[in-house]
Amino acid sequence: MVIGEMKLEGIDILTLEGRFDAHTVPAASKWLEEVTAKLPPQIVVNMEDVNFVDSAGLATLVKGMKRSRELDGNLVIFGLQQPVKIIFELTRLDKAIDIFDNEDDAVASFSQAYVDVN
Amino acid sequence: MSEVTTAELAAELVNSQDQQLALYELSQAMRQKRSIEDAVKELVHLVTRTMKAQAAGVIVAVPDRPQIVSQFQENAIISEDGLRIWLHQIQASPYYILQNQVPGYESLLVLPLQLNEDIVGVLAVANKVDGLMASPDRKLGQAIVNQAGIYFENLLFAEQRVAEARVQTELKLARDVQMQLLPQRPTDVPGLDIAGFSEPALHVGGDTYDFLVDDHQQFHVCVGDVSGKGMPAALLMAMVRTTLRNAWQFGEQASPATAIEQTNASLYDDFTETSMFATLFVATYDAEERILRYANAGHSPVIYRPHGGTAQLLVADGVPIGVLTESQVEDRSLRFGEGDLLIISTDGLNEARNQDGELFGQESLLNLTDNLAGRPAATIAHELLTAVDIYADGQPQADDQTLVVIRGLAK
Repeated sequence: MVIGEMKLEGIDILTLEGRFDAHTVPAASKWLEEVTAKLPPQIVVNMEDVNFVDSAGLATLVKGMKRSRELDGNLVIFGLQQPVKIIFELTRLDKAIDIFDNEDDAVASFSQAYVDVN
Repeated sequence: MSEVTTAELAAELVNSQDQQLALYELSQAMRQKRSIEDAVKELVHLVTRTMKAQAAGVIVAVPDRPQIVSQFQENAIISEDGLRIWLHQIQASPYYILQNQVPGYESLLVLPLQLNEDIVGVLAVANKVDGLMASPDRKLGQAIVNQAGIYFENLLFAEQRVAEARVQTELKLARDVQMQLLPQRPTDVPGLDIAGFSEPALHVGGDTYDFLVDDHQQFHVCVGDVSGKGMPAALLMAMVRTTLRNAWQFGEQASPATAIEQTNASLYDDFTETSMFATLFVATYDAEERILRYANAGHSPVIYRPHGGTAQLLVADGVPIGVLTESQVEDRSLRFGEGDLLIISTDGLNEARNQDGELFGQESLLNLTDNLAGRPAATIAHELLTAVDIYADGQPQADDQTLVVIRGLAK
């Protein structure tokens, strides 16, 4: 798994690759911890190249999402492959985490929130 | 043969005898030692005696273990700080003898102590009572400390084995407790045939199932799966079980959705602290109306097969507990008369993999359910688990596996 980082308009983007499971969680978890220290955390996770997520991976995303929202930010994800999308639907985490089709929509969700607030 | 050579030979013979005697004494002394602390103490005594020194000291600094320091001396000429400094210095220089260079020492010999080829300690010997330290003393000291290193390695290895055995014992006890928390006897509910099974991937796991008949003779069932595996998941799952039982027993006949919301509200902070969540399926059987009321917080797979129909997945509507402050679950109802079948599993079954890494899949579970419908609940459970086992073909069980089968009987 490769984790790319890119900063775009105050938004941190995490790019995951391959299997997102107990073996690959620690690196992503550490990155999320650092990013959620900034206020407000605005995190986009690119899942386009992820073909499997286990419960440890899901727990990591949930943790990032909860922490971000606590600090008036958010964590959103985009680019779910079909098998991964099914996992989110079966666990109904699709009701808890905002999921987008592509990066533009995911990034735009933050400016939308900004517009709404103001 | 010249006289000088003879004298040299004689000296060497004496040195060699000293060395053999010292090593023999060392082996005798070490044999009875059970801890490395005792062995270090014994080494210091033995070196002082056999090397005719005024003082000796040893420091051993093994990773993940408190430093061991031992000195034997009449007056404090070898200090703990001194040993620490020499341990630091010896990494650069393999050994040294100092003659009249350090105040308090006429002569001082410092030698490295190696364990598994790493220098982890030093032996310091000060002030020979019959002269200055010389090369034969260095050889004797090094022979002793090398041999002692081997004994220490063995003692540390044995210590590690004991520690591991203790952890294994504790895990086994934890497993016994977790197994005891599962329903121990067949649950007798008129109109229902019930079977349950749970096997963690490790000693303990984050899966559970529970049956309870409350004071109103209502039957409750749950199946849950805490994210992650092993002890952390097991601890959280025990809390889920208790909280849910409270809701069932003292919740004024709380509906499944209410019981889940109460559990979520009670444990939300704990789940947040531990960065975990749990999927949870809860159902209550209404024997009068032959209806099963259920609520599902992100749990899958749940399979319902109405009598004469085909097996279908009951997809969850609520999010797992510990994710949001409200699970957003709703109560739903199933007709549950004779021949109706409900199978609540955890993903350890459908996500079991074969040798090629392919998943067993929910489709296989659905097909098997159709084939097995009509058999007793225990048989269905056994056949499903056997099918998964055969499919995995010796691949180690990667996730906890839990299965509850409920079948409607004639009234």
